[in-house]
Amino acid sequence: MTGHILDEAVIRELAATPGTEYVVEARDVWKRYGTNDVLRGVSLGVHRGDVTAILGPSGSGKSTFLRCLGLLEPIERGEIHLDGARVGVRERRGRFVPLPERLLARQRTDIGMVFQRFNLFPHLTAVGNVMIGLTEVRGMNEPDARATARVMLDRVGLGTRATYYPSELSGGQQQRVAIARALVMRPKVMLFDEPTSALDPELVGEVLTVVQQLADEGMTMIVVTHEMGFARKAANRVVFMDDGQIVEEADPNSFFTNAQSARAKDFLSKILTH
Amino acid sequence: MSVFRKVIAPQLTRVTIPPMANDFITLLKITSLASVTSLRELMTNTQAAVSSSFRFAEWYGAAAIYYLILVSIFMLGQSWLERRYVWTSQARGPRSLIRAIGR
Repeated sequence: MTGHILDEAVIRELAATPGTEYVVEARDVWKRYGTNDVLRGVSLGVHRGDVTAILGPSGSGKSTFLRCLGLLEPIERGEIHLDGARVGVRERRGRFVPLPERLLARQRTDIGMVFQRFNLFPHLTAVGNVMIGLTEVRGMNEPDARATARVMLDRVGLGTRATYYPSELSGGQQQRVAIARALVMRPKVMLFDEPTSALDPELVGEVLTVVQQLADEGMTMIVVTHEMGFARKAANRVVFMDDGQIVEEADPNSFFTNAQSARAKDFLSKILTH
Repeated sequence: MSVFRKVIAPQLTRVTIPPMANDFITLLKITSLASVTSLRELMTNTQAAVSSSFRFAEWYGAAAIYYLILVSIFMLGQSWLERRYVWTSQARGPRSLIRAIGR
């Protein structure tokens, strides 16, 4: 793996901008599936360079929250702001209505998303997966897009696998392709939805190394994870969710050693015992 | 947008080729049933030839060979198509068909 993953200019820029303003902010987000309130008033702000880990039991709404932030799910109530501007809606006759899909797609380009099951395109090679956003959304010409994609694959350690199809790659390699695919669009924030949950234990490390390096380079990230060790090491903030709400927010050390809420204590006692 | 062309169509084609090709071959075989109507197809002609010459084995055998050849041709086409849609870096033949759909 080469020295850096993000472009050097981007790293310098990230280091230079003080993290005082929120890159992503959710204000009182509500989400309902049928009669089931999955998110019940979630508010969260993430500063530039922040690495926020979202923890919580299954069904607590972590992944849903991330999908709402990534503009993949419409929300019932609340606001999502990206770099100070409200996203996902537009004003029509004094009311906010959801954006049409075409405009949503444009706003999504600022958000990098990595999924639990990789979600690579099976009919495209690794480099094809990474470059498709550049050619189809950014309108870049094919040779340039291919070159940019290859550089990004090289940085996540997959320079020699560029022409392989997803079915020929290991889980860890596929997930790194997915990370490269997200990064190549130069997103303002990266959202990881349990990036290592579908991986064999021995492949978890290679993915977390990449994520850790991104954190070190100043990338703004929100990571839903069950890797407690990783959350503790890489994140500078831990958010604990339960039943569609944020129960506790703390820095990793105090969360893991001295959780305040009873629900978080219970959760930690169950997962840290073995 | 190009979502259908670049993302959905290739994956959709892959899953629809086997059943569609199977149905096509079945359809080819059951054209023989059309001989009970007045349509003149392979089976009708065979039966006409049989009834005028009384050479059952020869004519039906010839018809069988014709059917076998026709079905084999379509089966070759099917397996060629299916192979084109196995996404691996090794077995790559001419990509003309994907391109044709892609345009």
